[in-house]
Amino acid sequence: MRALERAIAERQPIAGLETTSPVHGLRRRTIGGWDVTGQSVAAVAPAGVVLVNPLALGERAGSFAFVSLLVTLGIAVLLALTISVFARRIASTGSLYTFVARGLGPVAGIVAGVALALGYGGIAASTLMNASRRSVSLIGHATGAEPPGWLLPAVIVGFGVIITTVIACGLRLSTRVMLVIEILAVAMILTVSIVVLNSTGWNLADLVPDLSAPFDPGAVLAGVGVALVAFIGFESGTGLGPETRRPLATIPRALLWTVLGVGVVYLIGAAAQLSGDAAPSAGPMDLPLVSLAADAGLSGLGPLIDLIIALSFLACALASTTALVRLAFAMSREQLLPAAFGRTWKRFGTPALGAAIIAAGVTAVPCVWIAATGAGEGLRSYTSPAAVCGYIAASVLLCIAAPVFLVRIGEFTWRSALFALICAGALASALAHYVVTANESLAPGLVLAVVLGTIAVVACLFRMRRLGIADRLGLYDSPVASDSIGGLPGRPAHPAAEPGAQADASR
Amino acid sequence: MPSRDPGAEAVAAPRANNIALALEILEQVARHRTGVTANDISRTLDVPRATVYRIVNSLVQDEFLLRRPDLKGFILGARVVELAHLVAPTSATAGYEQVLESLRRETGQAIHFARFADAGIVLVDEDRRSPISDPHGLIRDPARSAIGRLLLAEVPAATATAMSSASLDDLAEIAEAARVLDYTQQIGLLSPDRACFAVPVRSPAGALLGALALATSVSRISTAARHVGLLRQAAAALAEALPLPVHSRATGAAAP
Repeated sequence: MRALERAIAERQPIAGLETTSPVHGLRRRTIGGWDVTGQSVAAVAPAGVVLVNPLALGERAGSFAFVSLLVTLGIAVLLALTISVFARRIASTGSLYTFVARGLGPVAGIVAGVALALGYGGIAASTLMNASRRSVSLIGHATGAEPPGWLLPAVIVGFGVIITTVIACGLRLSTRVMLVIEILAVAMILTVSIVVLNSTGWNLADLVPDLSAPFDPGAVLAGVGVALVAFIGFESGTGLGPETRRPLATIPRALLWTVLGVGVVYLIGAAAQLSGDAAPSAGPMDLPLVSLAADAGLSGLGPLIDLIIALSFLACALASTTALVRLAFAMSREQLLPAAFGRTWKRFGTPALGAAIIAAGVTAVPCVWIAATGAGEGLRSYTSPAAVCGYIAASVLLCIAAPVFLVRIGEFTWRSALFALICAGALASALAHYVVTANESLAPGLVLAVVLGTIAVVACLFRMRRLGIADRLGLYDSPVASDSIGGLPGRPAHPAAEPGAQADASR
Repeated sequence: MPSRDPGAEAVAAPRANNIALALEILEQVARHRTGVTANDISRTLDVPRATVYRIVNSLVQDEFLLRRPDLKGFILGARVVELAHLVAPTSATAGYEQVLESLRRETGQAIHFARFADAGIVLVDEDRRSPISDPHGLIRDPARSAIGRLLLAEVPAATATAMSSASLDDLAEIAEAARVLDYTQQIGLLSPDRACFAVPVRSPAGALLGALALATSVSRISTAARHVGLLRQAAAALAEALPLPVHSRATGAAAP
């Protein structure tokens, strides 16, 4: 142990380390695992998924619905493990974008970044719309009168302002808000599900696939495609890496727990609906699980459940916007986006200006939609293809990037590569199936997403070439002098912007 | 799966080996100051690569090791210092620790030592028996702590306003008080019932390197002020015990 002993005694600075992190200005190393989990779970919005979207699964996958969900959970776990290949080694605000850029280079990175941004943006806009519509209908329910037409845009803008404020006022505030909402929402789903299961006498026969019917892999694949959408957003916690304490340990753990936790909630929720043989919903705002609960004697819950769903969607809009703001932050620090997105507000250590710009953009989408169509319906058919395709495409690229990245840094193992490739295959087939079977109502949204995405990718590539910043892409919170043994004591070390790191490193 | 009886041993043995291997890996990293790759470690120690990857990754997660910014190879992280007792149980503690220990004994009060680097505060040695009530607050708003006030008094006014939420007038007061007394104090700003004063630790050339602070209850701060002389002596000893910064950046930023 001579060399180690000497190194500890001398604490010589190590050459080649900067004194400031590329993400300086953010509150480095301040939030914990619960905050990351709050962000990830909120971006998934399990309450909304279980209560609003489940019948699509039953319709598409038939008697294989439950099997599809189990298969999807397996894929999501593999995806979480593959993301962890990167998250165990790199803490970045750019999440999948940075990872793909590190593995496959700048061009693929930009494609993944744009796809991810479309995904986050689409989800943020549609959940903002949904939360606002539910709030307006709750207001109408409470006052007993038809709400005026201006109320919906006003609520959307109001929520947009709330989202901006919460993001600007610090990560800890927003993650704690999301965590509380999600705990309420999940508790409610579980309660309703258990009431329903009790009323049906725990009739779980429908969970077992009907093996007498001819096996239809297309049905399972369709079910996987639907169920996969239910996991979208769980990776968004990775974007908080630099701001998390011991991120390389915390983030992978939070991702895996999010996927497993959300998966269990889905399995229970799906079991309740299948056991109650939920009737197809009459309208988009109807909730099959709620009518089952009403049949079981748990009536009068409608408004409360609507409120919790509205909150859950609002939290999802907040989480998706947060992820988008952090993604833009990474791109801005690489000069791929204007400097405004990478500026931080000293008081709270947040990219407040970027948050305001992006939240304004996210708010504008539903407002413009209402102005153009005069109604609140139908936005989903445009945002949903963008979200699904963007998110899955970014994930497929990530899975391909993982083994390449491991070879690049000389830490290749067959096991990680196998997980990544299985996951890439499954996600790519689900994406292909989604695109091929997209019905007419989704086609315009799909085309719009592809056009927007292509324009953005070309613009980014153009800017990258013009500024000659290709080798800057994939920027992450690389170790600084003060993180290393040379940082303590008595070495020029921490810039003032990183209080968390200082306190941690000093012990 | 191993059978029940040898099971306990089979579980315990690899774990012990893992710790030994982890230390061996740290030793290898310490030998290569500019970084060493996992494959190099695997070759040198003749250990399977997958095992090295696993241990190296958990050392990185726990921040004992860092990945080089180019991701090719590993260097020692700041947390390795916590292993000092494992690798060198007999070696003398660093000079500054003895100085602080005897100061704590003589004053009987909480003594904290912080360094200033790049116009920021680094807590080097916090009194374990009586930790700082709000270390984050101390670092976030220097005007609330005696240690921070020394730094605020030293840096240019523009830097001081950027670092702290205190008003210009308050900052001028702080700087003036520090100049007159050559120490700073705060009463009840970090925590309502605690007070603190701090003397500067300066290099022979007069550059501000750090601060030595004594913290006590608000009611005792006046009588504790009799220890200022002891703190000044200790500060002079610390300035000698500390290695000077290799770069002049920290001192440059803090020079009057």
